[in-house]
Amino acid sequence: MTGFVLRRLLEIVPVLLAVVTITFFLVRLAPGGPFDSEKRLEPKAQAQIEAFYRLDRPLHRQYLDYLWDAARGDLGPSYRKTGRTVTEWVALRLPVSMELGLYALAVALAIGMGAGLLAALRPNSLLDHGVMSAAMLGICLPGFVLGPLLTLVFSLWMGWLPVAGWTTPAHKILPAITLGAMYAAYIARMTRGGMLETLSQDFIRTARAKGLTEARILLRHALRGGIQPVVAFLGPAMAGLFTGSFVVETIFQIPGLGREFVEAAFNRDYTMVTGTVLVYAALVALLNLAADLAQAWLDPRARGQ
Amino acid sequence: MLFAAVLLLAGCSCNPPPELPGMVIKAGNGAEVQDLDPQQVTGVAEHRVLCSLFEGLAGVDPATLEPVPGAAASWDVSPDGLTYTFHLRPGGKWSDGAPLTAEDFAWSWRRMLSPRLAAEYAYLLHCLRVAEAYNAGDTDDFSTVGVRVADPLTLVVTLEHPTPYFLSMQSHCAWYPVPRHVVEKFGAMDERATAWSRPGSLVGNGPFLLRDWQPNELIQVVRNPHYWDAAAVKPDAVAFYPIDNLQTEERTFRAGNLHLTATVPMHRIPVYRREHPEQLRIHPYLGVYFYRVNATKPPFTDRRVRRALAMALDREEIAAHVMKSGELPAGSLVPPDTAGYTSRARVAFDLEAARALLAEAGFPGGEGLPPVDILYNTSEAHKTIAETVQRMWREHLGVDARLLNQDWKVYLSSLNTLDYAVARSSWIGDVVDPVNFLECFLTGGGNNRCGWSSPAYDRLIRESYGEVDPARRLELLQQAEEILLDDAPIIPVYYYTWTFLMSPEVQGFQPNMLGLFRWQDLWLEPGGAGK
Repeated sequence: MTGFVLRRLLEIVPVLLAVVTITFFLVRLAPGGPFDSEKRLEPKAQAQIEAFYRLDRPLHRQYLDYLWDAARGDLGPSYRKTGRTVTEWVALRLPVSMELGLYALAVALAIGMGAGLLAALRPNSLLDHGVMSAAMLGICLPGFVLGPLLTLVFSLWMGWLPVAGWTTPAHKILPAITLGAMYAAYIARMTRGGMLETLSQDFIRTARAKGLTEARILLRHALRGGIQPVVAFLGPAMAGLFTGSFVVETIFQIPGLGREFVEAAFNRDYTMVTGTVLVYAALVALLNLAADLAQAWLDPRARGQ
Repeated sequence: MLFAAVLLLAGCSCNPPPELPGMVIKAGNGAEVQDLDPQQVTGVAEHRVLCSLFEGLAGVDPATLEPVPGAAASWDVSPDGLTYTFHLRPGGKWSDGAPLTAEDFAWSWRRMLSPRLAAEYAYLLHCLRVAEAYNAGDTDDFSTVGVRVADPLTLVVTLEHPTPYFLSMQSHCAWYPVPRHVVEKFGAMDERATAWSRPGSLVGNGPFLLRDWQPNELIQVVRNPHYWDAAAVKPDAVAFYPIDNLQTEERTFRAGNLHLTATVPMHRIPVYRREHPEQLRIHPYLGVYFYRVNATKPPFTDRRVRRALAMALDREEIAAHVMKSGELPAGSLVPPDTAGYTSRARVAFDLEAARALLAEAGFPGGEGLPPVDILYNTSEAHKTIAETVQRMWREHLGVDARLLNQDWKVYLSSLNTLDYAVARSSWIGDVVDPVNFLECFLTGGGNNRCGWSSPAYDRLIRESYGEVDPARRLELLQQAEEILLDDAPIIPVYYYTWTFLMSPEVQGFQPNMLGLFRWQDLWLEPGGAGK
């Protein structure tokens, strides 16, 4: 087991290296530079700024410097937001995005698994169709529609919750629902599918034959197998949730990493783009590993592989 | 366990800034500020915050934009307009209580001009004698630059040439003093991006001091007890909310969480007009929206083609029916009544003349003219205007135009490399003077960006630099603008307005062309809606 984890961790290194390399060069290939602005800089001032950020060195030197610094945890200075390094920005922003992601995940799991279980209990009933239609709607309704809609109803009409911001617990309810809703819909569909498949298997029939209560069969025996697809989905989904959603963070004015990343791309803030992509890639890799481990724990058959 | 780790990590973001007591003005501030070092920033959002934290030698009256005493109590100007002697306030202090002296200003301007700092707005200081050479690194002897400390409270400034807007320019953040005793604690004088401008370290000399700065969330400033006019500062605090999404900002305002916004989404303007006209503010602004025509690219090398395109635009229609927020149709580059200057020359809407010019250039009825690409950066408004222009050119001239949308940085790069035919552009004045607009189009200037060159134009602009007589100077600029509009490397479209939402509770506001708030003059009167 330890060997497996170590091997998987080692495999992450070349993946990250590839991601950094591709991002490093791609972002520099895009037309326009970080210091182009509406009012044009004097060429000498531009040269000074580029020298300060070591952008005057040959590209391969910049690349090697970046790798060396990044390996030591220094992701370089932000070009656009002066006075702070990218590492500081990530440390400032990632926790906010993770907090939002965590709430959204809780919303998604609670609603999604609940709905999925309900639907699986009575397949093809009115309840099943109702729940699955709602889930379909959830998948189709994008955040930039749901978010403003929720604000309109709960903030502007009812006056119950704040419109935007990220300070009190009340501020966090609507963003969590907006971000969680789409994932809830996916999870509901997956839970339903997984549960239906498991419930049709022999060991469930055996359990029924032994006279176990339906609730015990469902929660104790079927659920463990039924949520397998959800667990596999959660790895990459959590990475997506934790690294921030540009749309939700923008609608609700949340100081998270997702907004920072998109803004940085627009600003050609090379270090910020490369740094956030690197963090994102590392998170995806680690959470996928975590999902694999969780799956192995849930399903003895997967352990051998 | 993963959950626990995430919770632990997330835990550190749960420290909401405490609500400030007293009268707090809550202002939407658009984009997140780049920095709060006045010598490292360029944007409007930064300036709005910085003018609460710092003060130049002179300020401006928000209503008239005339200079008023600031950190200097008074000044004398020599008859030739080249030497200014500023008398600082005795007992003037930084917000940490340290004395504010003439030496602070001299040091700050030296930092602003130092080549290694590469401040983008350093060019505003080029009116100081030898400053341009010092800034370019051609000399490293600052004593030759036109700034001299006569005694701790007297600063003598010598200019390269008479600059009528020199005093009113002192309210621009490029001229603010920065605290040497703090800046040098965090790095060398000319080192970029040090931590001196963070909350806890930042020291200013303005009516407010920085209390908190949570990036992308909030900037709070509270009264500065050491400010020379602290008794006249009305609000206890100002909270700036960097809400870059227009819709979110408007919703936040509607929910009553902002007293004023940075802007208004275009589609909400008619709604506010109808339902809450008392909350909608629309004022003339020192900016112009125009199209650049690439004068190096055939057939636009022919001025007749450029002029025909310019004359075939119905600006009235664009301003009234497309923009809808009181924008004025622009017949010139410099907005009307800019420091007493209103352009004599105007681009007319004259279809007959336009068609005749196009025919004369060899394209009767638009025949033979290759399709004209209209370049704009991503924005709903730019797109709508470009579509209207496209339609007008097709209907009026038979010219086929195509729309070309690029992302901001790509668009800038296209402009800089002259890789376009016609491009949407704008210029927002840094200082209230026509020359600030007109000097963009000097031959080879960094902001020319249309490859246009006219020796006569260059001569007039340069001559205006040395002209002491104000009337004669404006006359030179009038002649220059005539040449510019006549040769049409640019097509003016409309003059900007400063459009935002403000609660009727807010009192003491004075509209002005620079879009300046004097935060210290604002106060709240609950129920002020009665007006």
